[in-house]
Amino acid sequence: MFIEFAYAAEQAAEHGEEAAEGLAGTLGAVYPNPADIWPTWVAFLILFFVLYKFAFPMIVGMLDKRAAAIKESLEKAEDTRVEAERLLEEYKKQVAEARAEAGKIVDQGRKVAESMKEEIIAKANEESTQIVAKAREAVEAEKKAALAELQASIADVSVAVAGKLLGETLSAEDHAKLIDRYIAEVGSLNDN
Amino acid sequence: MEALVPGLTAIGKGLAYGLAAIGPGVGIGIVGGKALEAMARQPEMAGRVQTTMFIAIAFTEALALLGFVLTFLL
Amino acid sequence: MNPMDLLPEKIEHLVHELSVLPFNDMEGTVAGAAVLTNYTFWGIVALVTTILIFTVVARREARRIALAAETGSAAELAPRSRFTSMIEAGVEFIRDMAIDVIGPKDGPKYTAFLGTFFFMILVSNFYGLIPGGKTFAGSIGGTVALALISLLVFVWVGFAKNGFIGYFKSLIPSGVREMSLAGRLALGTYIFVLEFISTFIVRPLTLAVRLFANMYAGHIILGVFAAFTALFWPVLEEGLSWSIGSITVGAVSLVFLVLMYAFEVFVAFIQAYVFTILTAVYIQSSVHASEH
Repeated sequence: MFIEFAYAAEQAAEHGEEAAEGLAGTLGAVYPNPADIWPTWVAFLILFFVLYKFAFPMIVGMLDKRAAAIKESLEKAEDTRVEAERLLEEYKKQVAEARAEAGKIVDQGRKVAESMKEEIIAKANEESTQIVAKAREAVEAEKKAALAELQASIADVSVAVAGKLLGETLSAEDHAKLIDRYIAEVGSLNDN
Repeated sequence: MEALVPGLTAIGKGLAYGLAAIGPGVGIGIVGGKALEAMARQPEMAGRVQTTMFIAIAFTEALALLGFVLTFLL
Repeated sequence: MNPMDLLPEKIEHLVHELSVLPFNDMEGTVAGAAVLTNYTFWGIVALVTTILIFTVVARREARRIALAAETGSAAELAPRSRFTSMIEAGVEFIRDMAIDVIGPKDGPKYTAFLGTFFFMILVSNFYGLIPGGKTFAGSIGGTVALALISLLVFVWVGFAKNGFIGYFKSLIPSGVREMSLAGRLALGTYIFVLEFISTFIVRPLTLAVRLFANMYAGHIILGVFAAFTALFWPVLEEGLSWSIGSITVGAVSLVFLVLMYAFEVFVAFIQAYVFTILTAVYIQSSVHASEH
């Protein structure tokens, strides 16, 4: 700084008192004073050094890191939201499925019960008809047996009666014919 | 005659800066007005328009600044 | 005594106050054997303040980045103090400007360089607004120094990116370079001379003068309004006559003084911004010189 003041002083001496006055007077405002130039350069360099080496990397680094952190957390939040939505959808689907399943099971149960009921009724009906049929068969068989017994006894009785009545007049051949005719008559009677 | 010099110098200085400021004054007005128009039409471009406006103003202003320096040199 | 009689004396005093003076002897002249001028002194004050602010903020940031890395929680990276956030916003503003103007590839490299201009001018300008304070941008020497740094850097970037010959060639528009020989000689030479003057003389000159003129004129205006208020309010100045009219003029001057003060705060910021963005634009034109 001494140098430029020496320079300014030298100039003033060269141009005389008038020049010095001129520098401080009208021209003073727009005459770049070396006494201001050098310190400004030094100040600029010092400040530039501090900002370039230390301050700006830190602050810009902070800004970048913060931006990255915000971006990351936003992305994470978005991912979480999507995941939550997906899960919700899944659970909704599961609940709906379960409900449908339960409905189906109830329906099935009802159907099974229905069919069981019908089956039981049908079985009961069948059994009852079977019992009736069996009873009827048994009655029929009894009746037949009784008829056959009756026929046999009627034939025996009639042969004995006829033999008594006719004596020995009837041959064995006539005897058989007579019995057959009688049986047929009795059979026709039975048909009626 | 000598007595007139300071007064005439003062008038000259006033005229020098005054005349030098007319053109840039009108020019900066036009630049600013057009920039405002552009920003109103396309607000999304406001940032770029503003930058360009400052540059244009700086170029226009240069003439007035030369006049300002000239005033001191007179 | 009429207040207006004292005005020229006041104005002269004001201009004298605003001129470059040795700091240790305010009544001396520039050519005196001083060590420190008033502008340099306030420039150094602003420098120390800026360095202090950035050191404190950067250390805080470093500590919190380390803490975040240690604990692995991103919450440590969240903004905490208003002051730090303000400085961060300023840095981000400069970085966005660099990226916006110079381009995403080359821009970030120049952030610290542009930031030095911006914060140095801004802090200094705010010091200049404190009554009794000065901004180094209020002396043409300080702004010329800054403009020369800007010139040096953008020319150097131009040479580094395009080569010595290439950079000078790029001063001539490509349309002219494709013309016939006669056209190139005539129009090319003309445009080259114009562009040369515009690039190497007008650019730094306007950078320096714009900043200086805004600050200097601003302070003169503030000083004039302050002088008017002081002159027309005889309470403040002994031996002056006064009337209702003079009181009114003093009051109006005071109102204007306050308004102009507010405007000067705005100007202090806008001039720092303009200086920075123009440097960025000049660097951009050097980086992409061969493209147009």
